[in-house]
Amino acid sequence: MLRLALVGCGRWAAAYETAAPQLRDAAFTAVADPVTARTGSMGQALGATIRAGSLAELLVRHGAAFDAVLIATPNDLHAPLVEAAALAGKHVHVEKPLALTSAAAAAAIAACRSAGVRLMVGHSLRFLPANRVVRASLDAGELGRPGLLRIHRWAPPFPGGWDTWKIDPARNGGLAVHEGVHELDLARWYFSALPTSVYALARGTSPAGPSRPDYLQMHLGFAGGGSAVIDLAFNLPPGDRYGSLALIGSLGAAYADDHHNMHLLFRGGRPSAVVSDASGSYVAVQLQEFVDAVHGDREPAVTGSDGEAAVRMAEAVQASVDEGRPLRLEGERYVRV
Amino acid sequence: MKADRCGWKASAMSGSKVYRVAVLSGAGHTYMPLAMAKHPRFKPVVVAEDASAPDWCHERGAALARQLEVPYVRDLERGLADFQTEVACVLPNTARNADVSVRAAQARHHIWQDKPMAESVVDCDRIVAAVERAGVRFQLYTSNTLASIRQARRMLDAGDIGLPYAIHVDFYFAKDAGVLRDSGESEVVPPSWLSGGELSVEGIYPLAYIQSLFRVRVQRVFARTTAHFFQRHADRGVEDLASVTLEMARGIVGSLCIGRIGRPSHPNTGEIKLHILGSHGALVITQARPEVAVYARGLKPADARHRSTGDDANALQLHEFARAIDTGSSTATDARLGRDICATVMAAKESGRTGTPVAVT
Repeated sequence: MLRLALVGCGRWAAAYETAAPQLRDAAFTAVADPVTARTGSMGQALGATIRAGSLAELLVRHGAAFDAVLIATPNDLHAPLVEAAALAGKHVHVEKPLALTSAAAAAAIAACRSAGVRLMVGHSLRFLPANRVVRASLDAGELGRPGLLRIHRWAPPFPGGWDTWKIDPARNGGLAVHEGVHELDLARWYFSALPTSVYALARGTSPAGPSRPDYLQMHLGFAGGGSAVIDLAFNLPPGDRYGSLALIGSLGAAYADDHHNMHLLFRGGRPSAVVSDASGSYVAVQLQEFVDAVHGDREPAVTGSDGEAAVRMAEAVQASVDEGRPLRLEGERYVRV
Repeated sequence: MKADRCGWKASAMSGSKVYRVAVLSGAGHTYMPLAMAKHPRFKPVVVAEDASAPDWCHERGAALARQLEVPYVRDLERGLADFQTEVACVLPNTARNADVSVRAAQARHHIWQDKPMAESVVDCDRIVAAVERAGVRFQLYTSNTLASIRQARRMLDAGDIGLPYAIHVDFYFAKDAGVLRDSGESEVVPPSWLSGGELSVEGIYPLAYIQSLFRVRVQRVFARTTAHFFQRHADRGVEDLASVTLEMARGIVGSLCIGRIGRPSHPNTGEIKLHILGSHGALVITQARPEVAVYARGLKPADARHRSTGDDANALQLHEFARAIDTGSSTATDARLGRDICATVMAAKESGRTGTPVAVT
């Protein structure tokens, strides 16, 4: 049984609550968050009896009560917490992004390697059922060589307004690091390579204007001619979100959208669109992968290196936005064209 | 003037003059003259071709003339001069489009021209100059009159999503073009196949959608182009897959993803969608809708499973063309707009070659 400590009991931690009952060979024993009310409610929901205000407190007072740490804090705390957990010999699952910078990500990876603990980064899009079907189709050779990946992901501003850290680039790393890493990692996963070129645009459509971009468009090029075109928007009116993914290969294509698999509900007036609720299920698959990797003493499906690569791509995206020109991969680094 | 339910001016339907049409070549898409033959405002009366045109052009031209039950003339100037025509339907092929349209304009004919407009921006400029000098109407063939696109325009015009700031168009054409790349199979490429790349051939449709919906010029592009699917594209160094980032006037951004993706890659003729973001909402438009899906024993692989049930887009395009001729107003996709679309395509091709953003001039 792998004993888990959850660090960070904010909005995203609710997904862990859904996932917890589905986990095999693992159990939550501890939770930590600076907000006492959160640790109380989340601890109760997860069945974790140990509550603390921070990871440091957990390690000092209850270090023997857990084997692994799940980090779900604001982004700027990810890398320092990974290093602290690793130093204490704990395996680590950290939500994306692994760090705010690729240098910090590399340091976190080195800390885990040095401590001999497993590190998994929560790039959750890899675990969405639709995205896994697309990948399986690629692996089976049905699609041939991937040629074009097209993704749209649109959402309203975060529920309840943007938390402070989510609008502060110093804490979230900016839109590319905070949100773009999702699709950047997915594109790298599908093409099995880093993009060889990156070009990106951003727009700020809120009253805050360009200083607070809520729209990001990324255009990636891959060796052999493949491309990915991705647009992310976080300004839909309150309500549902929209996602669409198409992967065109040399022998076939996969379309993971179908207008969000919507059903229609008729109850007078215009029909309403209804989406099957599959929320949270993929988080259980993601966490189970971490648990299984630790038990099996193997690398997890999404490694620290994957997380570092995603941050490095996001840095290139941000540089392209800032400078209005593409970047090219030379060796392992992105340089200005 | 009152707009009808489809957004078209009432006068387009009220004109009565029937325009006699000279069809110039039968090498291109014959659905254009066939649509004219069905339309109450146009009457094809001759198919003409240059005597020096290749044999296959004459074979296709003569076959089209038989289908239209009109004379076939191996002299393009005579076709323009001797049949009391005022309108030219121009469809030779990309390389000759500009030359033939210029000659039609010089003969004072209004022009409905097949796409792409020309092989170069310089040639497009020649058409623009000839058309404006002659004072004739020019309409480039597009699919802007599809029901779904008209619906999108109505919603944008009504402000349903506020101020638009981004548009993304996917245009995947699910048809084959010979043998697959790197398959090792050989093929005989038909002489009628003279593609300059799918950006030139199919790219006009999504770019025309953008022009129609947003009415802004593309200022800068960044593109990736590749021959991903078919050997003939690879052999000729032309793209059958392209992705283009668009930067437009008023800070509007967008993208195109286009490709001739092969028949197995879609149950219909292709995935063609528009994703539009605005300050107060968003639109996702599927070009094919409304449609009926038909699945039946005995259908051939090439038969369309999904069949559009929207009204006749070509007929609506001809209504618009007739209105423009009647009133002297602009056409839906006039020569300058066509020229801008061509310039965008050419800039995208250059960007694809160089790997750098290219200004559209």
